[in-house]
Amino acid sequence: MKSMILLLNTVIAIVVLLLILRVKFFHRFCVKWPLFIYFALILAVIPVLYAVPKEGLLRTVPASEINGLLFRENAFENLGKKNKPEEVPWLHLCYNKEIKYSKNKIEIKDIDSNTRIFVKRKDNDEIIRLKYYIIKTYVDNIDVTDKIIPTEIKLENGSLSEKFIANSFIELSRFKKDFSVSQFTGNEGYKGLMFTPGIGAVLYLELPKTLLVESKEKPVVFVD
Amino acid sequence: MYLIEPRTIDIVIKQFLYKLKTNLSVFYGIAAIELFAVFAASGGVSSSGTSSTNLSVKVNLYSADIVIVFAIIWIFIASLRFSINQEEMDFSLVSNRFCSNVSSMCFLAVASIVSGITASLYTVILRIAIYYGAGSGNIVSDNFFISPQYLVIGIASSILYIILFCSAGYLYGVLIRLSKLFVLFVPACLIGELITLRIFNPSGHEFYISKITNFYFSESSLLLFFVKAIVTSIVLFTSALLISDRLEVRR
Repeated sequence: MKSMILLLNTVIAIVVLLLILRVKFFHRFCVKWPLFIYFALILAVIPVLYAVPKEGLLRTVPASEINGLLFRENAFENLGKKNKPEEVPWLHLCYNKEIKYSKNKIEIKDIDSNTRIFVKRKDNDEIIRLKYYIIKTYVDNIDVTDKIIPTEIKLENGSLSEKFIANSFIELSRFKKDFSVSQFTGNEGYKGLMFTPGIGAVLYLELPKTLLVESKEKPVVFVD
Repeated sequence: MYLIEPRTIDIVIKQFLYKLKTNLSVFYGIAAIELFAVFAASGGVSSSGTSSTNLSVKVNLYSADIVIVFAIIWIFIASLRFSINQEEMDFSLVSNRFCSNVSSMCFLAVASIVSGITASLYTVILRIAIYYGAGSGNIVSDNFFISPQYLVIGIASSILYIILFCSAGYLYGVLIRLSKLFVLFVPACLIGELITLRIFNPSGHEFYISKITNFYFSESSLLLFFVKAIVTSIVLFTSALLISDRLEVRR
């Protein structure tokens, strides 16, 4: 794409040079109708912009909401007591799985140091409910959490472990007002990138009452 | 004593229409330079990035400022060339200096208006191109949509900037016709001022260039900017007209 643009720009630069040098051969092709088409096309783009659906664009979040993330350490403690991670605004649910499990013991190992484990007991129905949440990440006050590739939680041979999949790369495009507009309407210039990474995750397990939980590497918080 | 008394206004209109027909390359130049600029702007004017564990972030900033700047440069060159080549054209028409200059100024004013409108609308084209090219899911909504009011302000101020530089280019061309020394004198003054500003100005005292640029670029009222730009353009065009009237028939 970039090489295509470079090629096109080289051609245009040559055309501009020919126009400046007033090359007669080139001037023979300077007729009216392509100009009319060009100007008509430029005018026609105005309604196209207003027809663009607003829903697909990224919206900024109030700074006060993001500042609330700073208190998440205390909020983790509350999570154990309140027992409702889905109601916690700074957590993003990555996946919600139900796994059939008939053994009487589960081992939790190889979990990332920033992941906190919560276990809630439920009826003995041989089903494990697994919810994996990550802390929301903001770039320039925009919630980009859904663009992050979460780690995978796997249950194999009686062991529950966390597996890294891939690095996430987020690229955002933002526009600034032209100088001819900002000069008269106030310059809300871009003040540089603001990055609030959500370091940490929550592994929320709903396990049968009789299932024995073993976790040698990380502490497990039993809710209720 | 003539059977039909020629009126200045009729001659000016006829010459203006003739120049409009014969100088289509100026409009082609506008289109080409704007396309060149928008392709250059499609890569973004700046980008910033950061990363944390397993996550990299890049933010690209887009603006169509460069399109307006390129349009200004083009119209400056076009008016300069137009003014220098005025002599050649004058001898193919039955006219006087006044009619020829006024019709040229009208032509350049039309070219400025057209290029101001198109250059400002490229800000819309850039947004649509990025929206459909890069995908809507990565575009920040702030400043993406331009209100009709802002669009009008952008068009009006771009036209005024372009007319301002167009009149400066026209006067510069007339000065070059007056004496070839101006080819070097004006750039030497500008470059000299800039060098002086950088080397011999530790106190940060404002020189002429910064005073002049601040006079126009720091004006926050569109109405005052309109007055400043129009009055300056009229002064520059009138100066060009008066100097041109004093020039010899052919050198």
